[in-house]
Amino acid sequence: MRLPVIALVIALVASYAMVEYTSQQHLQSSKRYQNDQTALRDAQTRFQRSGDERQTVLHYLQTYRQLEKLGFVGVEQRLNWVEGLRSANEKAGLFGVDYQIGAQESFPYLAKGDPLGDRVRRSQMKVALGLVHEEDLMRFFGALAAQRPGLYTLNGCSMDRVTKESAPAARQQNLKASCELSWMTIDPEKAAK
Amino acid sequence: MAAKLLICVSSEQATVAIWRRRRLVSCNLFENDEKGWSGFRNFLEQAQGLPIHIIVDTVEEDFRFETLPHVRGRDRSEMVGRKLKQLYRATPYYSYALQERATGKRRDDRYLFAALTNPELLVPWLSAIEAAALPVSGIYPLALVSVTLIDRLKLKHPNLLVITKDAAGLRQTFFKNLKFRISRLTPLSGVAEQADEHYAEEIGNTRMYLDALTVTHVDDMLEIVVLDQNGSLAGLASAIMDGRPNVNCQYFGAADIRSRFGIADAILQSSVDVLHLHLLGEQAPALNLAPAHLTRTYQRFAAGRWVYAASAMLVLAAAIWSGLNIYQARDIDAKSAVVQQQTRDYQTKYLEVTAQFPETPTTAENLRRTVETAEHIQARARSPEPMFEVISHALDASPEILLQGLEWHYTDEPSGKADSKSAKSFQPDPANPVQIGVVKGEINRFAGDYRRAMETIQTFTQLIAQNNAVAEVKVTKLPLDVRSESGLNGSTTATPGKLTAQFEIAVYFKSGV
Repeated sequence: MRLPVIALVIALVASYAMVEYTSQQHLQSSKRYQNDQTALRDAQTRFQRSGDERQTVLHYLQTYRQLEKLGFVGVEQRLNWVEGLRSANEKAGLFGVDYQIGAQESFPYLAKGDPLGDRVRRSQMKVALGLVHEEDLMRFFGALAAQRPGLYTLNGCSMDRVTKESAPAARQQNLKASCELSWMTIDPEKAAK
Repeated sequence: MAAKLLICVSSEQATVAIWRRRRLVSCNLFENDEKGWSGFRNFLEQAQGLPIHIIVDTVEEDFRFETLPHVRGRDRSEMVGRKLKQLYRATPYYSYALQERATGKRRDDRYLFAALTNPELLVPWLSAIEAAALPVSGIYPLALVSVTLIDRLKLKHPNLLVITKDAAGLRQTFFKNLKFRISRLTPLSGVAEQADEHYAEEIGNTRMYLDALTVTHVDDMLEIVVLDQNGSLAGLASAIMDGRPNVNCQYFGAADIRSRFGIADAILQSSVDVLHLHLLGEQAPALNLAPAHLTRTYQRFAAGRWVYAASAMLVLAAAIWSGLNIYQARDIDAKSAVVQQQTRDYQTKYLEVTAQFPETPTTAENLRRTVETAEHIQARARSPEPMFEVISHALDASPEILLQGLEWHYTDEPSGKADSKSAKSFQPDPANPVQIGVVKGEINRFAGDYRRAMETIQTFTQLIAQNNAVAEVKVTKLPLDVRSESGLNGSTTATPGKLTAQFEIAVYFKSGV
């Protein structure tokens, strides 16, 4: 019975190998076919939506160019930010601005699943400045926005009175203000057309 | 059908034939002497791997019918085994077959017991087979091998006597109602080649024996079938019927046997045992005289063949399955090629269309998403200016309050940057950040009247809370902590003008403001 058993074992191994190999071939062909079908559907959809795509380009291209010019699209323009602070300080007639910029990090406030989520970055900046009056703070940020040094958002501000006098004295720092900003940028993706 | 070696053993000789592809392909005779045994041994060396089926054709055989109680399974085996040992003490070659159930009330079982009473007949032949290590499938009485003639010749008579002339002699096998009943062998030694009268007399004796046993009645018609392989019984039919009115005889000559059984003429002429060897090749009887120890090698051999067959079936099934897989894979690949070509066509058309678009730094989708992201960030941005306005209006209406400091936070943290104790009741949605303000102030020119100071602070907070953008206002610090769970110390003798009444208020704006 040794030879028959050996033959049976060989038959088992050979049969398993044959079926397994061809099943894998079949499976790979099926997967390839599914991928090809998906690619075809994508190509069909893309072609059928080319009219919409043209409208999208025409609608968003100008704004995109403006965002590029603003410094939102591309690498950080920290020099522009610092220049913007200096210029805003001069235009608001303040006593100077101290600033501190942290390392760039991801922006956590986009919706989960947003395809751009990992490409939007922010750098937090702390500024400290002296004010004559409370309204100087908003005049400063108005002047900064007018410079268009980049896209930023304000996270928080605090103001403390320097003197105990109820009426502010002219031409001196009556208030100390400090604010936290987030400078936003997005990494552009060069997609082939 | 697999090849096998068929042997018909008689006291005179052994006729050995090879069965291959459903027919006999050769036939050899070996005398029952030293020379014949030696030739048989030499022959077996050429037949390695073939299983052996043996017919025994001898007068030293026994057939008997026994009626035993109806039992089944192991009980039947034990009961019949005891009976066989009781009947056949001197031979290992015996067996039984259940014939039918009796018609009586007990419905007993009717058994056929058969045995080769002279085991010495097989000794030289089985010794040679054992020496050649060939597997023995079975040993069968020739009379039982001829049972298949009933179907092959479509015989239907209730009293049927089959006559054959074999190497051992004249074989008469009687079938009652198409079931085996009696078989007789008349040796031919001393009988002339053409001895029809002698044979007819033997057959007449058999008829009288059957009548005496009351198996047949003297008036019953007896159908006699003569199978004449070599033409030596050509005159037997007329000799039998001569003067015997209750007998009918059918004669099958060599030509009939050739045409009905498909036996080659050369093979048929080689031995008178060929017909029964052919019948054995087609179908072995159920009743097998071979003891278990003799067929053990065959059992292993047969098991091995089954394993080979199973292996072949397995490989065949796998090959069919694999072939189906390959066929389907190729079919799918062909479909894939078509789909790929269609995809390329669409891509070409798309490129032709988009070539007319304005030059863009990235895809349309990226343009849209980038702009929408920027718009989302800008829409989410807040300024402290609305809070400043709310506080300014309240301060304008509260000249007793001197502002010391302001904080503004735009956060999604539940407590924001304000005092955590005061913010317990305020739980903004984490997905929608809110503005939180902290107002730090004191009562201007405080003279120690804490009750009035508290009322002033309360009025101030109410003024702030009246604004529609404000969700909640909480006093987080009072000039005098009058809560029972806190300690309190001070002096009513303190100098007016040196006292202070400082406080803090947290202002929570509504979500979305």
